Amino acid sequence: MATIINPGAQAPEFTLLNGNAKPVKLSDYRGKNVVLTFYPADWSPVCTSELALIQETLGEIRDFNAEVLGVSVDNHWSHRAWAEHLHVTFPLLADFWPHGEVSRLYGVFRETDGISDRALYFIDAAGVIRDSWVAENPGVAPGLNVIFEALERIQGARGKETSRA
Amino acid sequence: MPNETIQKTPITDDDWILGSPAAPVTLLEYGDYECPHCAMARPVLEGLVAKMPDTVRLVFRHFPITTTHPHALMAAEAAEAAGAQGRFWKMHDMIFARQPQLSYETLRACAVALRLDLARFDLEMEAHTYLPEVRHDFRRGVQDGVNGTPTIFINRRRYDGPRDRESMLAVIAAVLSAAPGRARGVA
Repeated sequence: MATIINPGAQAPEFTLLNGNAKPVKLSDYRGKNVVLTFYPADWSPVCTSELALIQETLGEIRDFNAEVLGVSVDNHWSHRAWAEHLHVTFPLLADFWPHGEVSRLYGVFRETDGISDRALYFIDAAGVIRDSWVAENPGVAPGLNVIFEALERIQGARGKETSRA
Repeated sequence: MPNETIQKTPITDDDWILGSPAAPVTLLEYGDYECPHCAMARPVLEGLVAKMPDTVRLVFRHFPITTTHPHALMAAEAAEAAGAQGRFWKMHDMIFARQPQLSYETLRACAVALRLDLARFDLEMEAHTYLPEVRHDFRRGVQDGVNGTPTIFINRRRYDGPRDRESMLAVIAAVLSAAPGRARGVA
């Protein structure tokens, strides 16, 4: 497996198409914390529940001045259909061509089967990687605690109130 | 961050508990009444309590995924409303049994079948009297590390393995053999 980027490093910049085929840059989110969610594939059962859980708690995640970006190697057509199916409103980005380039950049591309690991990067408002999580078993999704504990470390538990203004 | 996930919130008196309070094995389930995997897990989990009533207890907390399951939240509130009239587990079972056709009418038919005080049921459903309880369960689930529905904790450790009866029996046996009374040199 490739190497995960250590906390403290600047998050590598990328531009990928979202489900509406519009380019999205990581730096568009400067000023916001970003939960960058790599997952193996649209339409697979575990990814379904993982992204549905994130969608269910999106309001609470945004209370931490954070946005969620999903990334997989599926193309933007698949992302769009899948987002509609799951009622996911945060962007799903297509790391489709060059295949897995951004996943590779973040050390989560699986050369053995051509998909991304199930992994999370927590990037702060200045674009610095503050935390990461990689599934030991890609069949097991991260607990929601992983997301909220990381956001609390970045934003402080009080971040919730202050960012609500 | 390590992958092992430990339940942080304690089991309290306001939890719905099936089985003996003194049972050495606690299964905590975070579930959604509209989730087919939860419906499949129900007979397995309740069957374990029935088979080993002094050994296993089951705790159920609500974790409705409302974006994909439009009736899940209402169903959770209905289970709480039945619980307020002493019929939580019966309602719980009936809701899961009627999962493909959940609606307010179905839930109300369950309330009728359970001979609940219907005036009270309707009033409390309309006022969302038990919504705070459901929200409280959901928040505890986030804290504990729910990663899908159902999420099951066995004596505070999240169990991500298969949920068939044989697998669950095996993991319960392993937990029992490692229980404090018999442990050797394990903190």
